[in-house]
Amino acid sequence: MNTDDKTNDLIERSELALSNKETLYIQGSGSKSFLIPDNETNADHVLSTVEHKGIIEYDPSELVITVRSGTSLKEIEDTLKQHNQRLPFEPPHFGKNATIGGTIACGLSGPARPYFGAVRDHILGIHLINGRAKALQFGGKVMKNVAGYDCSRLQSGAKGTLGLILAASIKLLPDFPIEVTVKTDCSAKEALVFMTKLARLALPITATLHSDTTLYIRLSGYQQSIDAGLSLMNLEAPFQETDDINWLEVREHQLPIYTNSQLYRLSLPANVEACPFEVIMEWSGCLRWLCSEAHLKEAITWCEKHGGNLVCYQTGKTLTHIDPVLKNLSNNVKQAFNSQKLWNPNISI
Amino acid sequence: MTISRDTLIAELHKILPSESVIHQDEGLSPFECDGLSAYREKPLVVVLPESIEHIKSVIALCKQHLIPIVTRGAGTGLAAGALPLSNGLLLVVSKLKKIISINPDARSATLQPGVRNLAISDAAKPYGLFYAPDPSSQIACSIGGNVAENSGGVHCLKYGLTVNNILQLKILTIEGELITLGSEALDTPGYDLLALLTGSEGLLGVIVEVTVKLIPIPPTVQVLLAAFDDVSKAGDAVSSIIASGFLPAGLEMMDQLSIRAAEDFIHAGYPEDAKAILLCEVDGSLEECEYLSEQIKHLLLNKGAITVEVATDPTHRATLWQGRKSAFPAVGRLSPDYYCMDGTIPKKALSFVLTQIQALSTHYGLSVANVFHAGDGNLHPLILYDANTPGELDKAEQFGNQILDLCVKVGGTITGEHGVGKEKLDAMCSQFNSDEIIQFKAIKHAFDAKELLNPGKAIPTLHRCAELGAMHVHNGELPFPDIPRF
Repeated sequence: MNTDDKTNDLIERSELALSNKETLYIQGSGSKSFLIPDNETNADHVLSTVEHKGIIEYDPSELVITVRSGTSLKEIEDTLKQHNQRLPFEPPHFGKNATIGGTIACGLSGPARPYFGAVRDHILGIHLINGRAKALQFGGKVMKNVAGYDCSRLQSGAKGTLGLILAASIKLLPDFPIEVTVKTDCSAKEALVFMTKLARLALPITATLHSDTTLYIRLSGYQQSIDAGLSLMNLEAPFQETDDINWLEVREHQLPIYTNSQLYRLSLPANVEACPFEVIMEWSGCLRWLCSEAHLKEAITWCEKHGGNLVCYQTGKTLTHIDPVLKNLSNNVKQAFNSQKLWNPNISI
Repeated sequence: MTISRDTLIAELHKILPSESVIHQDEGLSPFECDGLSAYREKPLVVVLPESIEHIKSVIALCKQHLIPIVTRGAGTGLAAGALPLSNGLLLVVSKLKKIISINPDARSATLQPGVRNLAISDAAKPYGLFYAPDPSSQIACSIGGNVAENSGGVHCLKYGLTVNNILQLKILTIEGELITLGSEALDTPGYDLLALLTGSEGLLGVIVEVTVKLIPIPPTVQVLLAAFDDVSKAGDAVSSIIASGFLPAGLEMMDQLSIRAAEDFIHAGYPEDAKAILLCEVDGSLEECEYLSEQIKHLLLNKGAITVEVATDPTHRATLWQGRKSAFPAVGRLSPDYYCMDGTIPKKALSFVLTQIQALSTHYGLSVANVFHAGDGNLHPLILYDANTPGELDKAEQFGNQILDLCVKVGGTITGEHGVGKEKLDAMCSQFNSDEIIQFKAIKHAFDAKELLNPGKAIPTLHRCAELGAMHVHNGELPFPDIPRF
């Protein structure tokens, strides 16, 4: 009997809650609780997933890992490292015990996201307890699978409002042999021009950051590709190697620029012009952070005009317009999974 | 259905140009099947709308009179997903084939649903970009159908499936509402309904516009052709390539029957005495490709390849791929009919599954050729049969279903990229239990409570599964206890 497998306990707890008409708030390690406003965590009971942990299956030749939701990201990453593999979406942890379940539920991806895809792109299968307290298996452990609706990717960013994730199968990628960071001095406008030009070339770029007047670019892969990439990049601007940025700190929002109490997240299409207000740019300009409330109103209008969305990071609230018809449809989907509000009854999506 | 066929046709003529409404018997015939011709049905009427407004009006009419709608793109699907219903309308989007925009700096393209897959890459080529998913029918299949099926192709290992390569969809719901799912930004607040719609086989909405990601064309591409005297050795070599940290752009395997058929048909230069071949494509900078080709060649030889050939020039490369991409028609020349299966398995189960398929082949007395997207575990056994021999189609279908059961048993799935359609409804019962099917039904109802969009496809009824008796049994309980049994 595997003591780390709490599947039956979690099902029993959910069956009991359902029969008592009680509600449950799902919690992993709590590392991302700052993303959920306090009043949205209300429920009759808290159900923790942290004891439900462990790697269920991992064979490096399959490029897939299957893990219980309470498994820590650290354990997963340490295991993958031993076999020179990685989670392609470079998830932020925001806490030393961050779990894979919380990572999927919050749909958080790190600096590599524009180049390798988001959490959702790598979820192959999900084991889930739905609002009828039934444990369901969707997707699988293989890369190609189109049987039934894609209920696996749907869990990414759903914040547990569609059910409790028991386990997930995740697609992996080989780790990079070499990683190099280069920088060049330039304005936000110039940085966007560079990043757009570079994005149209097949370069091994795996992260970008523009802050103040410096553009940092991370290249990862074989030495041959990095050398070839750098020669092309130097035709655009004088890039020089640097070690004055730690991408781990970017991923974890540990740079001083992210520590502002009011942080607004702008998600934008590629090739959108420079903001008329000060921001930090990641993801080749597709992700921008506004660190002050001063320009918030202007930023919302500007973001809508450019086809993006703006979210208050601390409350998870979307401040740009959401189509009411879409909202209605999303509510129907929520009903389809969680009609009796068994799971996370007060979290808004 | 609350009106007569004649009234329906008259109403359609009021909202569509007359050439967009097909109802004469001979006009309906070309639409009676999709790429899986073993299933045929004539629809009540076929419509070919020319605008989103047309589709909206057609949906409103069908909703009002409870007429089922089957949406069809190019009709190349291999699972009878676009099989018409005798009491339904067939909504063919092939006239909506405009490339609305190519945005090279944003690396995206916005398309009407009838745009052909290959036309996207052709249009993006002058900008040094391409659209990555490349199902073998890419010359004909259209992007709307690709989204509905979550199509794959030979480059999924590195570049992903359709779901990984689209940014935004516009759909019309059965209520006639035009909704945008996803956005051109990299993420969108709310549920990932873009993922839910992708691969939903026309059951949740009608796709009317697609925005796809475009990717820079790699400067260099090289293809390795490795020959093996044993299928298992080829399978082990595939696992070794992945475990060694290489990520080929494509990694394909063919068995001896497929090799010989392709060679007779295309003369690709495949070694006909080999028991299996691997085609491994690497891409990137010239320096990277040369390094990777050398490393992988060495690995393949170590893993027992008899010969390894590296194609560096585009013509040689194209010839090698031509053999693989023509495998289906090539095998088709060996037999009056063939039945193409589409299971996915963990790569480590390959030898076991191929041995079992061989045993089944002997049992049923039907030959089988195997082509395999080896890198991502997607197996396409082609069962050879003759539809004119009484009972042989049934035998081929039974054989096929047993292969799919086998795929599920080893931890795989009943369909990797072709979809469920009408064809694999029974196989769905072996992969999903009653609670899972109930959840699928609830999703369907969230979008289409009256079940007017492609009803009877993709998700089996509980009753069907109960009759088959092929489902999971949980905790010793009989599945579907509430359903009468006979």
